[in-house]
Amino acid sequence: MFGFINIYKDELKIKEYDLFRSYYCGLCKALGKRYSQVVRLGLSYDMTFLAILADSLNDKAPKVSKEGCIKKRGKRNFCIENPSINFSADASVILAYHKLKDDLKDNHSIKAFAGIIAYYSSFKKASKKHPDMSLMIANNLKKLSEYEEDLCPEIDIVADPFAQICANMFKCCHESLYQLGYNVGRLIYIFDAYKDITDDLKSGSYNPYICKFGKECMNSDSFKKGVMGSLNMTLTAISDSYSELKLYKNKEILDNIIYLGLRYEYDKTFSSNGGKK
Amino acid sequence: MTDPYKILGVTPTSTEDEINTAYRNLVKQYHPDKYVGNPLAELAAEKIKEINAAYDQIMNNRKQSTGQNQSYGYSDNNQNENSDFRKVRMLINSGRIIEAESLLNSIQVRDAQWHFLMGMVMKKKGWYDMAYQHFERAASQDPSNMEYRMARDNMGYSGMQYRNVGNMGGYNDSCCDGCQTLICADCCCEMCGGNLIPCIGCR
Repeated sequence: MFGFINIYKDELKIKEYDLFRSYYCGLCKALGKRYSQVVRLGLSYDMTFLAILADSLNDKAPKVSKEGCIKKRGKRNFCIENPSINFSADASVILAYHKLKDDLKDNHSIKAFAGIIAYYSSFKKASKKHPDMSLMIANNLKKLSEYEEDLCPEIDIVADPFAQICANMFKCCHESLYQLGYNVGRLIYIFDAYKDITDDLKSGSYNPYICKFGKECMNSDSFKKGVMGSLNMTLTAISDSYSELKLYKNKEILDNIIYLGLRYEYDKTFSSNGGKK
Repeated sequence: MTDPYKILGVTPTSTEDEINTAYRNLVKQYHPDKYVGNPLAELAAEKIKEINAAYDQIMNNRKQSTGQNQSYGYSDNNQNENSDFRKVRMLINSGRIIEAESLLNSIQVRDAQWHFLMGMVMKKKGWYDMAYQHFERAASQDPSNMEYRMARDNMGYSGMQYRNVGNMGGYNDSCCDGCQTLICADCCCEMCGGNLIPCIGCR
């Protein structure tokens, strides 16, 4: 479900890419410092996006330091530390924990069980800081699994809980981000549902598109067009609410993610050559 | 003010389709994208403003006059429903989406206008698939209504404006096929004008 919200590297200047990396590394460091080394595995580009977006709404200059990298020994990267990154770190721990719990309930997988044990103490710490957010995520994921159990065929309805999670999470950073968050969540869910059709057909798992359009949906052009239309509307809504924001910094990176990164993801999903450049 | 019909180069007897085509062609001609870095940019922007204002005026006048014609035929019963629909519109405009939705759900007669308003509610909620379905039903139940058609078409064309910004950012367009590019070129202007027309369908 994660990793859709990313930069389109080809069109980014090197200084912008470096800044993006320092947010990314900063988030990784924050996860390690605030929680444990294990939760650093849950680092994602989506959460980096949230950190950059939230931080761009204030005009404080980022505090940059040079720190060692856990993955590449001996390499020292620029890292940023600020409240937005800390918030993203908290949010990603809470979200990851609830996702794992959900997975365990659905699939009884050992992986999820191990993850829960690893995340438990970090989750306790994070949810103490943001009890409302933790409750909100748990409630929405519960709703989502209810829809899945009922084999709900309407993508709008099934996508709603995850969209609500993103919307409220974004809103915690800043009031004006609610609508943007909603559509980002919706986009991620629809991308995910569409990409999973082939796998879900094989495994016989629930997929809203299979429920509504049947097993042959992947062969139908009108179905594909429908999904594209729906994603287009979501992308337009994202760019509309994004363009209304007052940004103090990071505009180049955010523009790149919103207008090029998301679009690349979209084109990759629907193009016949698998998105090769 | 100058005659809006003159600005678009049409006459008061022109059909809606003719006006739309004239409008689209003019917007294409003066589109700001064509004038980036050009000393004429300001002039073109002014012209676009003028064209949009003229188009809005004509469309509003026409909508009002057809609205009046329709209202002559309404019975008492219809007027009651009408006030409900008016209330729904008011709620949507003031952003009270949940109330608008529950009021709509309580209305029994599901005609074109009901579907249109439900589409509006869904669109505001971010449920675009359902919104599109409702707009489509509204437009097919009452094909003569411009507002319903516009709402449906605007949704169908969305994504074009988004793509235009990306193109300006230098996005490598090679993975788009030729058809898509053509549709893009055809619709970008429509998108630009669509937002300026003051019907709630275009928000």
